[in-house]
Amino acid sequence: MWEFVGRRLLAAVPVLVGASVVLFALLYVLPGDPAAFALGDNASPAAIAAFRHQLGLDLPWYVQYFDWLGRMVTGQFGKSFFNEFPVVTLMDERLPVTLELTLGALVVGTLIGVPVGVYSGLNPSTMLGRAIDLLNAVFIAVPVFWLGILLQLGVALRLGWLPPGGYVPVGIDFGANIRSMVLPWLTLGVGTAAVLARFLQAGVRDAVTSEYVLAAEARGLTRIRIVGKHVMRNAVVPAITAFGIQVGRLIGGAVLTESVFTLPGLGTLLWTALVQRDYFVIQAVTLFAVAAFILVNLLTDIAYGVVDARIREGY
Amino acid sequence: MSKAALAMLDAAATNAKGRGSFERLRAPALALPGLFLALLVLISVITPLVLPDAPFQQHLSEALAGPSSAHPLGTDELGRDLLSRLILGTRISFEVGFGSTAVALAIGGLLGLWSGYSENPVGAVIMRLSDVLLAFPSILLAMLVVTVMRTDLPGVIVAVALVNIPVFVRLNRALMLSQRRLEYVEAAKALGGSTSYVILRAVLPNVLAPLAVQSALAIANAVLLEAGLSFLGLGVQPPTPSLGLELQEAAAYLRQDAWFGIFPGLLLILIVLALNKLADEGARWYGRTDLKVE
Repeated sequence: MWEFVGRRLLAAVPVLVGASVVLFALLYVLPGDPAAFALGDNASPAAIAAFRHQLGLDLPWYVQYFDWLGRMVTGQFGKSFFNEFPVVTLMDERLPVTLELTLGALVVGTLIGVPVGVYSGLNPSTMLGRAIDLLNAVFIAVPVFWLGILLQLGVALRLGWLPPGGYVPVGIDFGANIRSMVLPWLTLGVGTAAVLARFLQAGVRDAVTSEYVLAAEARGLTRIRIVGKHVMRNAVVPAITAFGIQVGRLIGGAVLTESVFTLPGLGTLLWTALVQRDYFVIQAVTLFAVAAFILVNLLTDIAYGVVDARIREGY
Repeated sequence: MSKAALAMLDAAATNAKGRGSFERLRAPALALPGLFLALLVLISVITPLVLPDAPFQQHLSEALAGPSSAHPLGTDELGRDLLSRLILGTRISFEVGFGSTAVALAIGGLLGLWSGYSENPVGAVIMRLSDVLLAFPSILLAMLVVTVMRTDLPGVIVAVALVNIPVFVRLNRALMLSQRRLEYVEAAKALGGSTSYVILRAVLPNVLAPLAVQSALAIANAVLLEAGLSFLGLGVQPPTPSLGLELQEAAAYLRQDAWFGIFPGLLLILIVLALNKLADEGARWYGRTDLKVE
């Protein structure tokens, strides 16, 4: 088992290094001199040159890359060009919002997706089973930001039950924090639920028609025991895959959801930084997101190996 | 993308059984979304030719009016006719969807088939590079690339294509690996077929079905990505309409005019639903039901 974990861990390192090269290369060719952006239109060429020198932007690209990589590894992310705040501070302020959003959405997705998927897998031809199929297809196709707008429109503006946007930190008012997050959680979580349900449903449908379930029925096991022990163990494997895929969707979806509900998270930070060409912020936030994505995929693979010994041994 | 997800993509390719049989093709299930999309393409190509100014004419006195006989879907915040803006926006969606998928299919397809066929170590490098690109959440990569490229239509097409290229590389390599030991490929080689002959004339026609399915998914994905980018203001720029951009504008006026926020999204979801349905039915046709990997 540990050998399997170690192998997967080692395999992730070159991907992360590769991602850092791609990211650096993209920003290296970014049009518009960040120094000119940061200093404004009236900056003299001498001031721009001095600024470039101060940031090391006048050095050869390979020197810049290794400098940058060294700083990323040691956690020196630099300062924002615009408000002079250290990037670490900016990310520190915004990380809790994004974490609360994505983890909450994951919980919502699981709470809805698992029962729905299992039910429709066991009862595919009932009315409800068919309705679930249809809803699944719709929620897989729905753009995150449109769902957000619809929820704002219906729940917040028409019914007035919840605020249409904004964020209240947990520390200030717990109740208000939850109220401000319910719609974003739903917005981001419903798509996750749909995908999760679809994979679970397919897994359950495959399992219930298999010979080992027939054998379990022949042995006189109760329905609950058959589903709980025999069906779920096999159906959960594809669902774990879905989980891994969802994390990428959640990170991307967080950017859009934060934008709809004006949440001050990492997504809005990255968006502002891209518009302002705020170099160090773009680099740090993107690399962080990619690293998080790789890490979660690694955990998914390990979970996969834990559940299914064939995968563990097969690699 | 996790190893497991990638393995699924590869497995989908390995299990592809060439062209499949027509008996299993459920015609009505394919016809409905197919017809719907064909109709939309037709409308979105022809209407802007006949009424080129309609999406841009401002009538401030009629701003944010709901549906009426003069404006069936209402107007936007500048009093422009929403129906004609959505038609032009749909065309932008299709341009990005088809354009980026064509680029991704051509580049990713050739690289994938070639790296699966030749023993050249460059093939391994291509695969590792695809893995690296797949490590970026797709909208993040698209946001970065579009900022580098410039935020306009060609920039968006390149950015979205780049997101889909690694998916096609992987799929095509796996398809090639599933075919290369088959007798017809050996025969083509034994007859003295060059690498390009074997790849393009022998193998490619036999893997068209899974490629078509993945292309439908890629187009759906591209339409959503374009809308997302435009919603963030990083896609096509005003006054050119895009379904995502319309929603961004609508979001500011939800209190005044709810319809403005509903119609663009409705159109978007219908397009994506139709494309997903086509992919599902196509996959069922050649015996796969779970090719859906983003």
